[in-house]
Amino acid sequence: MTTLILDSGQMELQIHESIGHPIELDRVLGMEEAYAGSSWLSPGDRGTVRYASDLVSITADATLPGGRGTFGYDDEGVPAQSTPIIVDGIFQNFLTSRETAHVVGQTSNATSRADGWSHLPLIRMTNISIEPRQGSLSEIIADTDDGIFMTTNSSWSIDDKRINFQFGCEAAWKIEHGKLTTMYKNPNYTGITPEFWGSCDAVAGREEWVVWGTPNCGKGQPGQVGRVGHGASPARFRNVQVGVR
Amino acid sequence: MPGLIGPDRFREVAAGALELSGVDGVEVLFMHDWGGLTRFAKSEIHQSIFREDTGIRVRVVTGDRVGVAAANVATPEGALKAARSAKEMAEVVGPDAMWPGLAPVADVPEVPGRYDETTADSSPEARADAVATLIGMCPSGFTAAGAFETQAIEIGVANSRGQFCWAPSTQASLTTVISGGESGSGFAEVFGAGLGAIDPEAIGRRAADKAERSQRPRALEAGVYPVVLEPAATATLVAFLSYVGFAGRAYVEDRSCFSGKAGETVVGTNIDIWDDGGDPSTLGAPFDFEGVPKQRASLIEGGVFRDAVYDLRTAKQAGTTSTGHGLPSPNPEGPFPLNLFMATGDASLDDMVAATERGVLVTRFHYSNVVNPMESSITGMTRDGTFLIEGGEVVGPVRNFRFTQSIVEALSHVSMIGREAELASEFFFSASRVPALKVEAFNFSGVSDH
Repeated sequence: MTTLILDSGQMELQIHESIGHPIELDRVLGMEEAYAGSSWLSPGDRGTVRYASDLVSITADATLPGGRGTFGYDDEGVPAQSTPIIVDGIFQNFLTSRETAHVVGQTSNATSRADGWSHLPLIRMTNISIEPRQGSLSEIIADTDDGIFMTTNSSWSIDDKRINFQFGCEAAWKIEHGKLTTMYKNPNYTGITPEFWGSCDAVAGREEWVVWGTPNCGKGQPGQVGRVGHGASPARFRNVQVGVR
Repeated sequence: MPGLIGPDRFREVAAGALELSGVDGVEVLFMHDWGGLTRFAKSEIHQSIFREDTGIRVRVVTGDRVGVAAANVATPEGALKAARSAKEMAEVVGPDAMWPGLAPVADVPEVPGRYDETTADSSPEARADAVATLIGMCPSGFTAAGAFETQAIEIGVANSRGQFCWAPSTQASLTTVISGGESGSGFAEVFGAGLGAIDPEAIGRRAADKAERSQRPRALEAGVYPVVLEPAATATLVAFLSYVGFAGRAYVEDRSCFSGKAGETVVGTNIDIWDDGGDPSTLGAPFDFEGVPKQRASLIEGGVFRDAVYDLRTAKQAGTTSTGHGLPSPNPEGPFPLNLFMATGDASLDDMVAATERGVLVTRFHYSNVVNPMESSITGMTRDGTFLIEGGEVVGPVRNFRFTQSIVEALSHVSMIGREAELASEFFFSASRVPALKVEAFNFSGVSDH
């Protein structure tokens, strides 16, 4: 167990798999249960469940300039919009469609998209981004006495309820007394979604924030490929299990 | 309901592209498929679709330059237009020093039983009736989710060297997860070339039984356990081994866990794995997407790694001939085995459980991915039926495990092999025909909360 700092690119994958998918209301309602899986969230969790630490706020914004998940209208004709998902660590809203939103007493927040003429629209991520806080990556590293810094995703696996994950990166550096030292290849880490996000105690600022594209998000039967985006800054997490073999 | 376009019409369509002048080679890949899919969740149908698509991909060669164009047409004029577009592409791309040429003329054997008219004509009402039967197997307080899919496919390849092949096939699959009670779920699925393989009552009963037996799972500590893997779990190991080990491009580029190991014993001597697209008990066409007949490829024989599978390009790189495992062009992934088999043994699942003093019975894995390809190590989760075995009996459900395990290591510690093989799928791969296995040492690296 150690302190883990993720670069912006790996944060993109971390957000995608452990926040983006479990907030899809069709998964929550069991509509994907037999294939991609469901979610650890329940329809009544809005406004009550602590998903992450106070430092973590997540927004779904289909109007973000330059985002891979940016559009004018979703495939049910609902105008693109920005929706708070997690505010100061508390879960607030699902991604919804016209078919599902009524279950949580809302109207669609415009996330229903198909990947082509021959497929039904499904709830898909838009640009699911972590709000930047403050400071640079180098300042977070300098503020860390002992830990590990991982960069660039190479592998991902997460369970059917999006709770237990294990992600791999291309490279890592040990952090000793605020400095990067020994380099490692093929590092990985594992965690439980709300515990991991609950341990976040630093999120870098706007100057480190990058909007990443995920052009290969798979979902549905028959399979569809979604194009989504994630704005992300580097962040730090405490008490994380690394180096799983 | 659509019907087969057929070899004669495909020959006419292909002729439109093959008449393109001023080039050194033309290949036409034709794919026509239709089918329906009925999805259900919470014991209600929430999606019922029907889809038909017709497409061609034309590959044109000028010297050592190759272009590809795709179109959704099945007319000679449309094929010629696509060929002209592919020629334009060929004229602007760089030379391809490893271009192997188009497939030579070769006979493709006919495989009986691959196309079933009833499956091709399957109606949404028939699928809904089957789903209703499956849902009817749910105990009180449980609901079913899943999908029932029927599909018909015809594929043809024609090229300017004179190769011509065409084959129709069908497939049907029914998959379900039944869940409910206090907590717990059970999984069952069946794949086949036709509706004859689908017994919704049996699938529902199997999943319901697992769901009832999965109630109130207890947490077991992570660690190394003996495991009994049902065929769906074995399929994950075999499919990922094909990805990190048997795929020809990774093999010739020394990125395979078997690169440089031909002739070496790599797993237990009781393990045989092969790919055979001509076997009547598997699915699909008996030739690949380059028009090369699929050969039986012995991959692991008596624990010894024999060879990878090849398409025309990787065969040229390896100094051998294509085994008929090419994918549609343009294809950056290289060849892949789509009709995998693992040899059966002489044990029943009950025999394996009875021979286990303390271990874990795994119904299937979920969302697995590669950790280190050169070590053939992967990670993933168990789901929908994970049980503790004690004293030779299944004593109760346990929370799902995360595993992190070398496939080669697992297959080096197989002590018992099931006497029957099933077609079983893995998330991102085609279905493999594999048996249940008992593996004496399997690394569960973490535990989930359900």
